Amino acid sequence: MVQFFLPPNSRIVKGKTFPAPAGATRVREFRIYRWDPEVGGNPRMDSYFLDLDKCGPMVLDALIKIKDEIDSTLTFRRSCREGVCGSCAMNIGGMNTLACTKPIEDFKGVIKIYPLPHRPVIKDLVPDLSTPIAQYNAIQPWLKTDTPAPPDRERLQSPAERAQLDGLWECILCFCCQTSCPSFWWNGERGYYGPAVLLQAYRWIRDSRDEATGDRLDFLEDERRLYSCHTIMNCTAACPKGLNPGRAIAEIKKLLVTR
Amino acid sequence: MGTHNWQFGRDSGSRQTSLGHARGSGSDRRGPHEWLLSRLTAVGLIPLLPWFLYSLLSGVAADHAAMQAWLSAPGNMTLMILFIICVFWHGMLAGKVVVHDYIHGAALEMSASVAISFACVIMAVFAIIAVIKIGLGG
Amino acid sequence: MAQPRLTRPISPHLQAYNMIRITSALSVANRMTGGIMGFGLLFMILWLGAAAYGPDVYASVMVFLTSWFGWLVYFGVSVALFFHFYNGIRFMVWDLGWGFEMPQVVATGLTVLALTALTVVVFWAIVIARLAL
Repeated sequence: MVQFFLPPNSRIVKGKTFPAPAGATRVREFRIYRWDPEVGGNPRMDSYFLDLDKCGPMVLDALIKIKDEIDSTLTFRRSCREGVCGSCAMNIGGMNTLACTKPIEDFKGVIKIYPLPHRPVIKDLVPDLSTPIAQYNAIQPWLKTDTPAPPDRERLQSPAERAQLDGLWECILCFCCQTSCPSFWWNGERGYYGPAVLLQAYRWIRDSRDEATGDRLDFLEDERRLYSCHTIMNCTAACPKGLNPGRAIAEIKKLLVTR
Repeated sequence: MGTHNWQFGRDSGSRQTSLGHARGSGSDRRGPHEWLLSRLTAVGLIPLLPWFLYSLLSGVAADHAAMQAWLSAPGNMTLMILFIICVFWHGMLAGKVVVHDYIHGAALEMSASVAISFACVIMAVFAIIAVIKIGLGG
Repeated sequence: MAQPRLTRPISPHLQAYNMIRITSALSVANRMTGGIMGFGLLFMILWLGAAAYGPDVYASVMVFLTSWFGWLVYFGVSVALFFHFYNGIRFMVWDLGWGFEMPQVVATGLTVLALTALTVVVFWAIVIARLAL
């Protein structure tokens, strides 16, 4: 049976509290998931009280402030701080999103922060994403052709053909959608490729320059890889780039019926 | 893709690479067949279900004579048999998808899937025979 | 010497995710209503089977089928059925490739809920009116 509850070693216990500095004017509590492989034991939720008047506007600003000034052991991924790299994807306030583009002001009360859901935890807010990354590799996300490229110019595409890729190429592989999907929680390790990987697969299926469309569709024509999608639509609701993995998957299903 | 420790390879002692695991035994190439059938049976139910509810509301279940009068009309009998086929087929496909999603472990999954198929076929055949028997006034 | 194997925790999922959102909530409801109707089918089998065994069997089985328990089941099944009916149409519209923008997902979801409530009220008003006659 699928496990709807967390296994004993993953249940969260109460953690430490770091109170706000004296004289803080606008205090907000950030309750953050902590787990350290060198310490082991169960994960815990630590509470950090910050003065928002001394903090930048985004959730990532709060995390960096905590790491810089309160608790240097807090571990999380971040890089571009402008929604381009996809590193700081995490579960904030019950929804997967990028910490760098999510304003603190979007939330009322305590802001709870967890790593992306249903992944093995490497440390604190850093999840192990090897399954979705391997699935991404498996769909062969590159242009596949038998026709050699013209010697004097690039492979051509009409403006209309290029427009087909809009809404697909923008994906930054943050896996917010992938780990928002209950189907991926239960069946990701059992062969469901999930919304992010299927959107990427569709990006290559749609590319007019690609010559392996049929092989790509054959590869996805599988009860688990593709049809474990039940149009729950958590993916589209979560995408911090405003893309629509739910629609991309529906388009793949349509192609399989009509090809 | 069968049985893989749900605790993600790395902790379960498996040394298979992530890519090897993601590729698994390959695509099952069954295509959209079952997915499409669940939609087609649902399309069938869009008119059949309101018809069935309308029949119930007009009192066909009141007593045995009313049932017999209702199902002895060939049109009603046809629609009722189509309704039974669509309902149980749709339910069987859906039940198998649910088993597929939630039951981990090849043996248990296959057994549950087969049990659902058998139960649905048996119930559907019984319901159809009942309808024919009532309608023909046996 | 063998190191004790590191067992990593699984990050919280149902425990952390807001499942009350219209996307996941209606999807869960679609499954649950399907299950409820599967249960309701047993009553249909009982009803048709009883009728096939003749008027006497039918009359005695109908005593159970029209008991308070029976009516409770029909009410539950009817709610499930109308929801699943409308939400199923919503799914098929998606399968045709329409209605994927988030505002549409929310609007169609709310429409399904409103239509379900409306149909349940109208249906049972008719049933009660018929029984009262």
